[in-house]
Amino acid sequence: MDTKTYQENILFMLKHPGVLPDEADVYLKELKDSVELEVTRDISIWWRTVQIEKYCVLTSNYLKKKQCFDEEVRQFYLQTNVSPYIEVMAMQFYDYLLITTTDNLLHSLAAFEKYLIKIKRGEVIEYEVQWQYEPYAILDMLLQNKDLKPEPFTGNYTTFMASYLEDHFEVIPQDELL
Amino acid sequence: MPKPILSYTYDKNDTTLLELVQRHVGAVETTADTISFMMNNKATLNEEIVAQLNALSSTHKILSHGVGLSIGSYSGYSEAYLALMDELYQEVPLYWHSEHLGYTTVDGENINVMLPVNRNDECLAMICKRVEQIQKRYPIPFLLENIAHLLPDYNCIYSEAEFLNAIVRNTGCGLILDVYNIACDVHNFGFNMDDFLAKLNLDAVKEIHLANGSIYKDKMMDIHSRAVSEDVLQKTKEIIPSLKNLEFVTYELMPEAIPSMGYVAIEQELIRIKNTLEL
Repeated sequence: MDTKTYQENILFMLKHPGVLPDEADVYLKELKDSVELEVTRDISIWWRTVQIEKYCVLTSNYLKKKQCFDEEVRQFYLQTNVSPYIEVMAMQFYDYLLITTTDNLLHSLAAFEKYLIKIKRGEVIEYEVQWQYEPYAILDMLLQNKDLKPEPFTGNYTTFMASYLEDHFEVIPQDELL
Repeated sequence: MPKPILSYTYDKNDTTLLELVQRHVGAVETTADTISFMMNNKATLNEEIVAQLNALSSTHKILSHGVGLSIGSYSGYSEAYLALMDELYQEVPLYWHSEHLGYTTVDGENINVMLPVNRNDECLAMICKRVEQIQKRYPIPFLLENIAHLLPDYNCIYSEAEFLNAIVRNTGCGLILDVYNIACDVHNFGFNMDDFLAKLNLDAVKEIHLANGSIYKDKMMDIHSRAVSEDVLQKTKEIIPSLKNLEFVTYELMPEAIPSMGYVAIEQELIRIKNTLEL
């Protein structure tokens, strides 16, 4: 293998655990299930985990309470060309979750946190996120690190987010919009 | 032979840390990628850190040490990193700049970890050409650092020392000897440190890096999160007399490790390194 093929194959194997690239030689066959490749992949993912945990606070806390944070970051890494810049990576992580999740609450939360950051950065002026739970109750559970028990707080709400609002958002019950 | 100067990584906007550290060091090493942030699809240096480095430059040497150049990517090094380096070079009086002999991207895709290049003629020619381009772009010394290996070697016809010596011989660049990275290679792959040091062109070594990490799945990790191990420190003490052009010894600690290590322990570590190595 020349350098081009070698590096492309290493990238492929990092992103496709347990899969060999076409025309793999003995080196790549031995590398496939090696602890060295596994550790290399784990380190890459660990760095992303540290950064996402620090930047995407609400969403990370939610995923941790659901005991799927590490797996979501792992899948995000495997499926995405992850930027080394946290400002970009965070948006990539929210987008990954918004596309892949079937969890309504996670979808609302990821959209809310994503656009809150964008509004604070001045990239967006207004945005609305729909919720099937009362947002303040959910945010309180996550920010105060309480047990996640959203069931008593079901209902239809909208968070209206805007750069000109004091806290950058307000919660509007759906029936008030009718 | 003048005594080498103690240096410390400064990549986080933390004036308390900077005030504490500058009492013990004669230089700080900063990473353009780490002190930058992305805004409107463009990476920009943190103005406050740049101002702090400028203020410090009247009394301390400022060294630049990148992580994102990816000089070993077959598809080319990172122009985005060089744009940041352009900015840093214009804004801050740098004593020299350096990078790792490895790659972090493939075809523009980030692998989010640093891997070494294959030590053969194809990579040697590629690296030397790029070093020369960088030397033309910035008229200050450029150094390359040996990185810790995570994967077994592939298609290497040169030893680690032979490859570094050839780059130095062809380009005139300097070397950073990262003693902890060598310790990782010794632990993870049975690398022979004494043989490496016996064959390396030690006159090219201008800077030493010291760090520590952790053991994961029986592999020693290059994480920069702890105080330097006694083994690495003693080995460094043993090596220093043979490095006649050594100017700096840098203690590397990643910004994420500062809260867990704490200011007091960082200060104590700098004093420990300085006293042990007689800097």
